[in-house]
Amino acid sequence: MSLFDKFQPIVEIRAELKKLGIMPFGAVTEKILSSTEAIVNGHKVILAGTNNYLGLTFDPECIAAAKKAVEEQGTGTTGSRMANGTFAEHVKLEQELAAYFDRKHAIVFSTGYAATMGMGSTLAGAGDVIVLDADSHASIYDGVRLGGAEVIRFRHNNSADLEKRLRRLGDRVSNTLIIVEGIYSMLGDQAPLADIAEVKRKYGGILLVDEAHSLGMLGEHGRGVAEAAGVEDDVDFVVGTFSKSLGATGGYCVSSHPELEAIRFAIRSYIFTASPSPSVIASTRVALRLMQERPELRVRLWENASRLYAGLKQLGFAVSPQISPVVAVTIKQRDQAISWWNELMQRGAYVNLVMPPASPTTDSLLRCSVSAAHSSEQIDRIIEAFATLKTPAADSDPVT
Amino acid sequence: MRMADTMAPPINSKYNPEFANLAARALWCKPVYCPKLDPGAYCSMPEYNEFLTRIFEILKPFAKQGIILNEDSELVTELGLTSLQVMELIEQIEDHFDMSIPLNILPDIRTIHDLARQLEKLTS
Repeated sequence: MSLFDKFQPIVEIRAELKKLGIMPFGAVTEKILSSTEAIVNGHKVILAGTNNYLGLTFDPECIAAAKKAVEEQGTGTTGSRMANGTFAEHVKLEQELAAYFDRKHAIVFSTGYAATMGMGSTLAGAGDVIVLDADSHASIYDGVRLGGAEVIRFRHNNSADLEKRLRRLGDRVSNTLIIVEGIYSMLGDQAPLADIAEVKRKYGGILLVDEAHSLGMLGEHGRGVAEAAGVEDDVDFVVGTFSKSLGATGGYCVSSHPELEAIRFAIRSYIFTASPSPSVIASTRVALRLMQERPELRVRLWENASRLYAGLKQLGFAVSPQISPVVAVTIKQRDQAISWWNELMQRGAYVNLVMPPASPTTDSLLRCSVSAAHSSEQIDRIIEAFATLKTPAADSDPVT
Repeated sequence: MRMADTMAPPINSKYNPEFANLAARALWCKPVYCPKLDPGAYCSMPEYNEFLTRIFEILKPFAKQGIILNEDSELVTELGLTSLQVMELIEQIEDHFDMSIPLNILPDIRTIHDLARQLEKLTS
């Protein structure tokens, strides 16, 4: 018995895959050609699994701002936001985020993981209760475990089950934090936020929504599922990331609760890490502005999402329950998913291979994410790559 | 030694060795079936046997290949439950008893006994 014994299953899976000549986890992007094309593991591919929803990673304005920031402010801040790592631009980005979300306060984090993990671990502690959606992201689970609150799951996207949980809490609901996501990252399905908000209004509690995969996609201003559902006033805290629609890295939390300014100084993932580099803040600020100035990006994104969704559905694949920039194909057999992932790569389409426990069920996923930067031809080529896979209907049962 | 151990009846069921035995044990543990035992012993854990019976019922499909479910059966290493299956077990118990089970108790649970005991604590 050694410390390393528990890693044996991983060692075995890696060895098995290596024998097959497939290394799906940690594929190397050897050369990035644009926001939608690259050479990955030696294959020239269309990037169909990068969460680069608005395609802003190569936007000339974003790049120019990042370059300028590097030249004027250096490559890194080399310090915590609480020490030497708060530059004027970090503060400006926080003000711009607060203004965009029409909330009073904002905190910028170094990663999206640090934002969700930090808020989950800090807002509720010992003696408090957290009620979270069962399919919440790992960063949420990690955070809530760290914080020491009592953690209760409710069935994914099931507001009736949430209601039961809140009812059972009785008076304790007053110090309860409810955590859900806007769009769920694996299947791309949306939270029924109108129903969830109604339950919250009835019973109480504080509601935090992770809009990591919905920023820039839904609602009149692109603020996410809460805006689209018309329940932003019921959402106490919104967290999210700069690493998807804004094409950089970093995270945020916005709220109108004045306490957020005090909470800031209690979040360990905010305090004990270096702040985002100046170039990251600079490109993110521009991307946040471009996202608002160019609503056509959102239109384009949904056109592409609908095109890919319809194409894969028509081929007989078990696609996600609803159209979304995340289009996931569910596959029962893990080996089938691995083999198809490999075939897709050879046919010029890079998608994400997701296996349990990262997938929400015992099934595996070939998860695509579309971008506003994809052309219709590129979407068609992704569909064509899927069409070459053998017997989709037999192996990929429809998802209901 | 746990109290449950002292109350274990002999394994003697003929028609359903896995469950009749356990059901018998569960029933046997109730004060009404064992009047000679100190009734105070049950007042401190009134729900344990109810939880146990329910867990055995839910886990019935996992008692395969000669495995006889008992309180010491380990959920993951012995019965082979995946993390998803553990969560399904938890959800079924939650529905049945109209209770919420915090994830925080999971690290302390290896066996069926551990689970029933933790559930009892939650409701006491």
